This record gives sequence, C-alpha cells and structure tokens, in this order.
Amino acid sequence: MSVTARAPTEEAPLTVRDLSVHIEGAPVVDGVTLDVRAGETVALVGESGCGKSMTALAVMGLLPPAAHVDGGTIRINGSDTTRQAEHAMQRLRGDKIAMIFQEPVSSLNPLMRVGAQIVEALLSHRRIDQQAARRAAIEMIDRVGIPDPETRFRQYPFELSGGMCQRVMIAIALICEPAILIADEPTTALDVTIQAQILDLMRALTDETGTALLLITHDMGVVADMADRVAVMYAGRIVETAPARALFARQRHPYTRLLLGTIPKVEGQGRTLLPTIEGVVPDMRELPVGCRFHPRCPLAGPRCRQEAPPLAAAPDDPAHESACWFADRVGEIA
Amino acid sequence: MSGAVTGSGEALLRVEGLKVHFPIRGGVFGRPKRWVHAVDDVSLSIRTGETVALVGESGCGKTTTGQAVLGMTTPSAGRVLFDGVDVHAAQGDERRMIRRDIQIIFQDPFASLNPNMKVGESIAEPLLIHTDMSAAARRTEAESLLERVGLRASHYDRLPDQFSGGQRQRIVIARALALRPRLIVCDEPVSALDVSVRSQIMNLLMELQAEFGLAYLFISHDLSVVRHLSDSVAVMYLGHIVEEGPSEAVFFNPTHPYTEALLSAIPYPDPAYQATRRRIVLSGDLPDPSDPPAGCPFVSRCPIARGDCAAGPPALEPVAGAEPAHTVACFYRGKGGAAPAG
Repeated sequence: MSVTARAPTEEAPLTVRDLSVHIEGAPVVDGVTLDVRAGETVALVGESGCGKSMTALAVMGLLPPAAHVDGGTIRINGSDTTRQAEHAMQRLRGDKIAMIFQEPVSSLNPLMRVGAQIVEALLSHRRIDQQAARRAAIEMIDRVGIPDPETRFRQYPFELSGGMCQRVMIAIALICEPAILIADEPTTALDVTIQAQILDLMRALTDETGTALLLITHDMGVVADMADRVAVMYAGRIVETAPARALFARQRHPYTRLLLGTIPKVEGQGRTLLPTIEGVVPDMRELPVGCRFHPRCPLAGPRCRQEAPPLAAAPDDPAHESACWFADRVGEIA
Repeated sequence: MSGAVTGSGEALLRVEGLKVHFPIRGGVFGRPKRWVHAVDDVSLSIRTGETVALVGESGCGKTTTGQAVLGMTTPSAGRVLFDGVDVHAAQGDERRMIRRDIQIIFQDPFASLNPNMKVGESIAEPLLIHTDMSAAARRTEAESLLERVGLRASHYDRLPDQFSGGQRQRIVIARALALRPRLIVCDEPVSALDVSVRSQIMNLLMELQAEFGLAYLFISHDLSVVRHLSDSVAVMYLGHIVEEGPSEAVFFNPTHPYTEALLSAIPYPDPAYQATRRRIVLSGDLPDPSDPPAGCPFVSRCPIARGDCAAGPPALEPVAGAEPAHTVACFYRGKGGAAPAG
C-alpha cells in the first residue's frame, strides 16, 4: 500500500479535527479526529447509531436538517469546509470529494439513462463539450468493469442488476477523479460474490488513482479485506484507532475486543454459543457519565464511571490509540 | 432425485421434488408468456431437533422453498410432507395441526409486528386463535414467553416502537414459540441486526432449540451464521440445490465450484489471513431465472465449465470418498480420480 508513498509533510486530502455534531441536543458525533491520506483506505466501523454515517455526511456537507456541526474542523484539500458557504461545498462535491451509498438502485435517478447521469456528474464540474464528456463516460463505464459500455450507456437503472448499479455509482463518483471517496456500506446490500467483485474494483481504482478512501462499514471482514487503518466508533466517539493489522492482532479497547469476538466465523466451530456483549447501546439522549461503554464493560472500575478516558497512544506503538483507562488489560478479556 | 432419506420415518419434514414456477403474464389475454423457475426439483428433509440451512444469494429460490414449506405458495410439482401429512392437501384438523406446528420468523423485525398492537397481545394472538385458553391464561403465557426470550413480563403492554431491532426480534421469536411448534422456518432472522445483537439472537435460537426440541429450516445468505447454527446445509443456485451435506463436510470440503466461490468470497475478519487466502471472484451476475442457461444452472459463471456442461442439468450425487450424505450436482467435481482444478 502506498500509505507512506508521499512526503509526510504534505497534508492529507481529508483531515477532520475534533468534529462534533448534535441532533436535538444529542451528541451523535463527539470529538472525532480522523485523517485519510492519499492512496490510503481508512475504515470507520461501528454498529447502528454509533455516528459513523453522520461523520461521513458532515464531511460531505450533507447532514440532515436537524443535525448541526457545533465544533471542530473538516479540511478538504487544505480548506476548512465547516466555514464555507453551501455553494462552495457544492463545487467540491462530486469534484474533489465524492460519495457512494449502500443502496445503489435507489441512489440513481430511475428516469435518466445511466450514461447521462455520469455525463451530468462530469459536466457540472468540467468545461468540456458533450462529445468529449460522452467519450469519458463510456471509458469510465468500461473501467468499472461493465461489459459492452456503449449499450449500457443508453440503458436505465432498472435494466441493470444491483451490482451493475453500484459500478455505475462508482463511475459517477470517480469521473472527476476526486481526491477523496467516501463509501458508506457500499456492499452491504449486495450478495457476497458481487461484494467480492465490487471490493476488488474499489481497491484497483483507488490504488490506480491514489484516491483517499473513507470506508464506512459494520462488517469486520470487509475492514480486514480493505483497510490500511481502522477507527472504531462507539456512541459518537472514536474508541480505538490503529493500522488494520495491529488492531486485529491486539485490541486496546474492550468494545473492539468484544465486537470481534461476537462475529461468527465461517472457518470456526459449528454449533457453539457465541460470545456476546452484555446490555445495549446507550440512548444518545441519556449517555452514561464517564466512559460511554462502562455499563457494558467487564473491566469497568470507579474511574470509568466518572471520567471519560481520552484517546491515548499505546506505549509501544504511537499509531495505535485507544480511549480506555485499562487499555493494557484489554487482552485479559476472554 | 436428491435427498433420498435413509430411515425416512424419522424425518419431521420431507420436501420431495419441489418445483415452484411463477408465470410472467403478457399479451391481450394475460396468458403466461414465460415461467420463472424459482424452485426446480428441490428435495430435503429435517429431523426433530435438527437445523437444516438453505444458503444462496438473492433469487436462488431459498425463500420460495421456505414459503412452500409453510404452505404460503403452491408447488407446481412435488410434495411437502410434515409428519407424513401433505402440507398442501391437508384439510380440517390436519390443516390446523400444521398451522400450529410450523411457525416462521422473518428478517425484518420492524415489519413483522403490528405497530398498533401491544407486543404482549401479538405474542398471545396465536393462543387466541388456536387454543381455548382464557384471556388471563393467555396473558400469563405471553408474559412467561417474554421472560423466556430475555425481556420482562412488564413489557407486555408496550408498543413495538419502544423496542430496538434486537428486542423486536425477541418478541417475534416469542410469538413463534407461543403454540409450541415443532418446526420454525427462520428466513434471514439475524440479517437486519447489528453484529453484537446478532450473536445474542443466534445464541437464543440455539438455546430454545435445545429446550423445546425444535427443528429449524434456516434460510440465510450469510455462510458464517449458517456455519454456527446448522447441522446440515443445502447450497442453492438458480432454483437448484447444487451441494448439500453435513455442515462440517460442506464447509471443510466444499466440492461444487459455486460453494467454493461463495466460501472464498466471504472476507475473513483478520487482515493477515485475508491477504493470504485464495479467492475465487466469479465474473458476471446471476442469470435471468426466466431464461436459465441450458444444462447446469451454474454454467454461465463457472470457472471450470466445459462444453458438455450445457448438455443437461447434473444430478445430485454422493461425493466420492466423502460421507454418503454429502452430495454435489456437478459433472466434474466429486467424482474422485481426475477432477479438474479450479
């Protein structure tokens, strides 16, 4: 991977610092800090309601009306978009930063030919003539692995399978060669053999173009397959972040460790009870004091109930950070 | 014919040569123009206390098979026998017995509960329909079911919107248990749930099975979930079972090229291991089920297909050198000797 291919002084295409988003007083994203460097894939993982999609939407400037950014900065190619007007954000979206969603079929305009949708994405940001745009779109359809691009160009989304529609979404997202691509559960709605095709395609294209990929997913298998680095979210906060191999090899937050334990593995033992995490995700309007995971945590002590732990680096690995008072004891959890 | 059950007397459910074909109507008189072969010659059997999984991707016919077992869709050919009674021909008392003894759990716990009905009443409703229990006895029973599935008796009077997805799935399970069924068709019961909740519900299903001696027909696209829950597995592709056998056999000795591809496509939650795995990425999409390929259903995507695979559909036959219950429908795999590699 080309994680360190660029000079370390060069700023990452996407840098998020201490981002907070509230919905009706609930801190759905709370102090999230995140960098995605050129050519790198960062996975943001967690369960429903942990704030991973809200983080992505905040970066895109596409938060729902009830949600507000009330702290932190989001820098895209060096400029802080939290201070920019909507029209400036519109110029960036689809050009410097693009996003693909979980439901490819409902993300496309059903009344517009797929080729026209790719052309539209290109013409809204580039001054080129129709013919050149058409040629670029057909070439892009070919690059995302859709056979017979000339024919597909003229078809409507309903004539394509779910996997094909996701390829079209990727074509739309990448036609302007964005510096950053956000993929929110891009393969969750697809069958597993189609998922494998789409993940391969995303890996090939981002390797080729050096696009920074922020991958939002709940699937630890997809994380293991794709990510250079991982950030695990729980109840609005990043609780652990590390290079992917380091995180899977050794966890420094109890939630990460327990979450990995609950996953049924195809090569594991059959007919055995799975480990579980006690309790439920907290209500974002009534968050526990101190560490937000403490009511479910086997290591929780008095300090955890009073003080929220900050993200801190592991003594032997500065790239491996976790927010736990007992990070060194996480390995004790069975 | 597959699934030739040895000692068939002990099978609780037997599906024999099931075909379900749906018409695509067109023209002035709405005559069927073409037929979608949703399920094409599927046979399987389930014993009391056993979990048989049907796995495959969208459109493979697994859900339609489950619906035929429940009597919700009419077979074009073949039979479904529950405890020796033909599910689709049963009348009167036998029909009522089947309605009690086979229950279902659906994927979406948000859509499968009446939003305006107290959850306790949803659980008690089957008792109202099928038994002569008093209202007080029904309530007591529903409360004890709520506790059995890990909720509280006091939740009886709440509405579904006060519960999370995982809790709703517990309520749906309690409702399915109310009539003490013998077979539950579980159609993707954990697919809509978060990872940590999924393991809780999977454990609950396994505990209840042991406690009540339940048989499960477990329909899922998720092979890792199936691996954990099932005694035996049938892999479906385009309406056909392409491989079946004891769970261990199918997972550790996958023989059909489709089973192999399906297993290799699941990303394993360990980057170091994932990087070293041999992966088979299939090209293309599932063929149109109203216009399936001639011959083997998998021929259009199969990495080892040869010209003669299009000659006719291969039959399920025992895998050479494996246990007899492990069968595969492939002209080239499982024959022993010189089988071509992928």
